[in-house]
Amino acid sequence: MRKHTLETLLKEGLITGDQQSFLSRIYDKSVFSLYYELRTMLYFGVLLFTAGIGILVYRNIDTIGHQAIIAGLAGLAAIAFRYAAKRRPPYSHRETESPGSLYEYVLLGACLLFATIVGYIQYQYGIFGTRWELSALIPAVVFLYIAYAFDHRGVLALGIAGLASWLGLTVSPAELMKQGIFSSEAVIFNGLVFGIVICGVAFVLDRFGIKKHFTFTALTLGSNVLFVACLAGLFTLGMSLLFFPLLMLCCAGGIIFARREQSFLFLLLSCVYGYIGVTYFLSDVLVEAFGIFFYFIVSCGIIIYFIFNYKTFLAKR
Amino acid sequence: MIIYDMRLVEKLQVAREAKQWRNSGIIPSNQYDAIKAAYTTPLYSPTLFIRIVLFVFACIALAGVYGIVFLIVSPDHDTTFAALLVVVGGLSFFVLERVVKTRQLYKAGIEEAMLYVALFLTIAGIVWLYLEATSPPRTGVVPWILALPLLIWGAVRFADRLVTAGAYICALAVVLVPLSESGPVTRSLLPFVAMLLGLGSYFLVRKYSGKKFLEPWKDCLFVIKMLSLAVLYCGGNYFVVREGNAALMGYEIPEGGNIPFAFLFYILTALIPVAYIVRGLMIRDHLLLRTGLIAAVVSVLTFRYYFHVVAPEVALTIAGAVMFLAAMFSLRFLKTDRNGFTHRNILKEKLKDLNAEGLLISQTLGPAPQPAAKPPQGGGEFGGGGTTGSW
Repeated sequence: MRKHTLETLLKEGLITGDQQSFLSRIYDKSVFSLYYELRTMLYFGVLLFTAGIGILVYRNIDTIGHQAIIAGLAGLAAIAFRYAAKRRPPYSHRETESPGSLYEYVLLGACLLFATIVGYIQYQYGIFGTRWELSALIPAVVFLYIAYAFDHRGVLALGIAGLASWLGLTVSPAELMKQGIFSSEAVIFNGLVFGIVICGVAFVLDRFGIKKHFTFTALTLGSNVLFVACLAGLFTLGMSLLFFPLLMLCCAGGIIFARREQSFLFLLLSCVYGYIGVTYFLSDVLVEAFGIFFYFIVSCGIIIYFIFNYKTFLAKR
Repeated sequence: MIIYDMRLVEKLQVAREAKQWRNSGIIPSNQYDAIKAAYTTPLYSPTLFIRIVLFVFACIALAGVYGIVFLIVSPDHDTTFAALLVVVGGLSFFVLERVVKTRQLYKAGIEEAMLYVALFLTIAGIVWLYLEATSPPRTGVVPWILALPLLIWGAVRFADRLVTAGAYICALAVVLVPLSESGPVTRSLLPFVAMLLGLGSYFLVRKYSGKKFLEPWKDCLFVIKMLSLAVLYCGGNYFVVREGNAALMGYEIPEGGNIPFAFLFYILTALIPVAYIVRGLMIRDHLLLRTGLIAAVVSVLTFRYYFHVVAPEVALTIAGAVMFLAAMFSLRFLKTDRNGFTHRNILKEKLKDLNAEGLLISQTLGPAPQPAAKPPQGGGEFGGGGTTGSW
């Protein structure tokens, strides 16, 4: 932003003198914010530390040190939880003002340590017996509680991811493709149920105004799994009569939501997943090269034309 | 030179910047609406996700168009195919120009798709023709030299950051590829030449960044600065040099084996991130600071090959703790603003909100999925990207 642009805005009466001087101090760096850098350091700190601890714990599992490590981690987690609990803002249905970046990442770190400890206890002492999947479920449920109690979006995301993991799913689209999720009927239905439940709960809570700032996160994670499950069902299980309309329903929902919230990530998801589904559905008809190319042109042309010319349709009313 | 009408683009950019002011609470909503109304343009420039949608579907549509063209012509010979690529690519540029001008597009996904595809086809065609013309086909530096002018043109005409990145890498290749194909003595100079190039391009861009006539390309210049810092770092990074060396020579260096000047590269791997961060603080530059942080993390990960110093997982843990503590103490230190440095979020940056962060956390710190059978280590492993015991 050049200086004279700010001066022009001032002259045109579009910004006040105070705003202009404040903004010029930002742009000439007399005020220099390290907010994002510090948060990035906190994030990498947690990432590297938990990665290292994860390996350390299991590498040293049968040595004398491991009891000490676990006790140490538990102590650390306790201190961290106490720090967060002291600064926790009182519960509110609305978004609360964050007590700070440190608070957020300390809480995140504490949760991750907790999960590591639970996993370790199960591994070493078999506390859940053969129900080892509980070591994924318990932390996930705890995370969800913490997310609401401490108003932390990141922990919410971890909680949902944990629930997915318990069901044998993952919330990462990349992983979903890799894992060959497409093979098992049980997993696909798990995915459908998971996706529908998460999205459903997110909508309901949103409707009641309970932590609306969580809705986006929950919907993104849930809808991705739902879309991929629909596609997987379409590809591997046949049952087009079930999965195709279901997919189209999700796409419609995604587009409506995108329009309502002006959040076009959901437009992207709906269009891409929907297009894959439709193309697959028509793949019996499109056999020869010419037909396929022609289909590409026409279908994409329609989509582009629609988005391009109906900005008003997509914009808020 | 640039295809866009910069007066319109500047107005658009002011409106966008004002939106960030509103999101950061610097100006109230009604003021933003006034600015938006005063700085409205006929340009079609959608938000990121719509841009991505348009880009994806434009690419698919283009695949259809080009597919039909090639089906109709049905080139039989390789050379004819290559020539067709060049012709079709060349024509595409004319179509692209018309579309952008008549539809008043500005970074709308559609023109980027057309640009990338046109560049790709034309360059591929030219390179292919060259390979056909020389027998036996020689790769080496010539394809890069052939590609460069078109990439530069694309970057300049459309102020496209991705094409700029491509042009920069291509330019680097023009210098580095001949070097890598030469004798062993000159080849060992490769990392140092790379570092010099990175350093040189960084300072060159810095020097000219402020000039008014380069204003339309300021984002592209930023990309070059970013890549320069990356190249400078990679040229000194132990892992890159070691593996790159092995790849060039065609053999694997055994674990624990070293390369000549290993000590020097250890030092560089450790010190370059520090230099970036310190300098970034000195001249208040976000790019240096952030590149420095990322480089620091990469340096820690490079520790895998330093395992005779300390075990990798210990290095990870310590580095994580150090970074976290450093941030913590900085936050304490900056409780009040010092000399203009503040920890508060004064001006929100685009695309960096808590929603994105939450999703990033779920992807990188979240658990690995539970396989059907009992996992060898504890189930539900959170943290550290779902790391397993083997590393």
